[in-house]
Amino acid sequence: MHIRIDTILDSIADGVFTVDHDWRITSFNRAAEEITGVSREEAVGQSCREVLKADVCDRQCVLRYTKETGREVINRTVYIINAKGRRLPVSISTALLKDETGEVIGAVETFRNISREADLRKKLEGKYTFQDIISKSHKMQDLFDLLPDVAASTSTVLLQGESGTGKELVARAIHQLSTRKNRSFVAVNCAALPDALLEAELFGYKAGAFTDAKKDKPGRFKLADRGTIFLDEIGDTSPAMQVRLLRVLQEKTYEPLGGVESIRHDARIITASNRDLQELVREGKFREDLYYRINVLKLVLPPLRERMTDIPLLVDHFIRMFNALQNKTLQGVDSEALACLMAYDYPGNIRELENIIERAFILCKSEMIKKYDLPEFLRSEAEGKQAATQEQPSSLREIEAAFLVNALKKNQWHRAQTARELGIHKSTLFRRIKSLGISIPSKPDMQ
Amino acid sequence: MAIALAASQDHIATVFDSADSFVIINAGTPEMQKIESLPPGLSAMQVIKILRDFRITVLLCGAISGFSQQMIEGADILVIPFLKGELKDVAAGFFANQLGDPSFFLPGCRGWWQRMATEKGWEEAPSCTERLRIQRRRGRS
Repeated sequence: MHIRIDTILDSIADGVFTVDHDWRITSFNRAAEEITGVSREEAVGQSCREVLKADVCDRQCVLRYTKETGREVINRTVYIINAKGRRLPVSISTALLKDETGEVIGAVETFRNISREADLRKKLEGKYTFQDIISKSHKMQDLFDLLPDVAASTSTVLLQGESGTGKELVARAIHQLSTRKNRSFVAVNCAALPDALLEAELFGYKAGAFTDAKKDKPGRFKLADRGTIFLDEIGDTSPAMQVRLLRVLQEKTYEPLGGVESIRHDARIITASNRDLQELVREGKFREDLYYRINVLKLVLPPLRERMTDIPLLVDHFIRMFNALQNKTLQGVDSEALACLMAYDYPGNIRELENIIERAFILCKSEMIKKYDLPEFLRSEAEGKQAATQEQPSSLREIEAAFLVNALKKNQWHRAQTARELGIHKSTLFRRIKSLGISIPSKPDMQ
Repeated sequence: MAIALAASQDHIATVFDSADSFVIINAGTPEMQKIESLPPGLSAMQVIKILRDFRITVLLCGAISGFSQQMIEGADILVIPFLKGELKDVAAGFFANQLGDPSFFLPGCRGWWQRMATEKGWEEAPSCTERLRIQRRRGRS
């Protein structure tokens, strides 16, 4: 009978485990092993909180609630940390476990991994938090430090960074951290529309303002009321539009097309540009007064080539995302493919990396993305760099060592300068140099 | 140098994010000196600020997400995760270089810890002297 129950439990897609009166696990099915990353052998006999590792285990144990009240809990969402350190949302349900005489002998918990649904929902709703910005580079950590204070303030924010560095993601994160998070986040690409359309889009219009304006249409500022409006590519707006935006910023009012009355707005304004606005001001292409209005809080996003240590993390993130979107189960990239990805400069930044991984998803026929699933230009660039070093790295350690040696050579073996370029702390670089056994040439040998 | 243990009552909090307090121990006087209560729902950045204020260089904790760990390590605080046990035992294990004992690891997490140790260049299981040396070197640079 025991064998049959185990077999039945193992055929269920949801994780199931049972506990005795001392909260020790007495059975643990295959899906539970997969979700938690803990094998049955390691789990049985252990305390359930140490195996499940859910955020509610220490303070609000759901099983304890069921055992103490006799009430079931159904589909409560909690977060667990699996054995790989991934935080997963799971939907849990609990019930009392009784023997054939009806006596309570413990409790049973079932749980379902809902991270795919959560990822898809996040993608659809665009509700990104700063936890969705993936980085361990020092440059980005410095930025993270500032975000709560930036979010708490009401001042205008200017995000500057190359295309594809995640300006909109940071803008959304600021919105989600702010007290306005329950109101709308409205994004407008100022470079995408000609002036007249942009004006109608931002400020709306009144019926009769032009031939086809049959009824009033609210603008983006209206939609972002008590929320946040994100004006992307503000450096590409015309001088006339810059004057209108200056007025909106200065007086916090705007007039819809065809309207006669000024409307007061209460939208937090976040602007972004991939161009150097100060340079545009010097060239006379951007109004100085508008620049100072929007440059109250300026955050500069580093390009991906200055945070190369983030590439494995980002690759892992995109693989999870495309697994969810395309219903696949790719495990990762092999070491050769990762070496290719690490050898490229990414002029298109994170968006380009995302596109490369998306393309690899289409071509990949196995569980791991291989070098030949990557675009030709990326392979040839990596091969060129490898030919220069005459070595083929075969493990992650060797890839990292080769990467650090290249970076050090590029900076004439100057470690502090290399650390700055890589966006890591110099003590971290020193530690990696030592642990990877990289020898620094003495001064006369340096070149 | 000071170490912090992410605690829930008298044991290491099973999940770092749900710790109710930090128990702080200053090196040289290996006694639990300070308990900093943590209100629930603190962000990783708020936690980092607390750790920085107490000049923490090593954090001993239970299960922690990769994101939180990266954030904390980004602030130059060494994280030794996936530990379990009573606070006094874990602290004693740390100072006696005995955190490698399987009894200190959450079920299923020892393999993860070993991979991390290899990645970080630690020779074996957690070693107090190795980490102290790293921290001293960090302090000088």
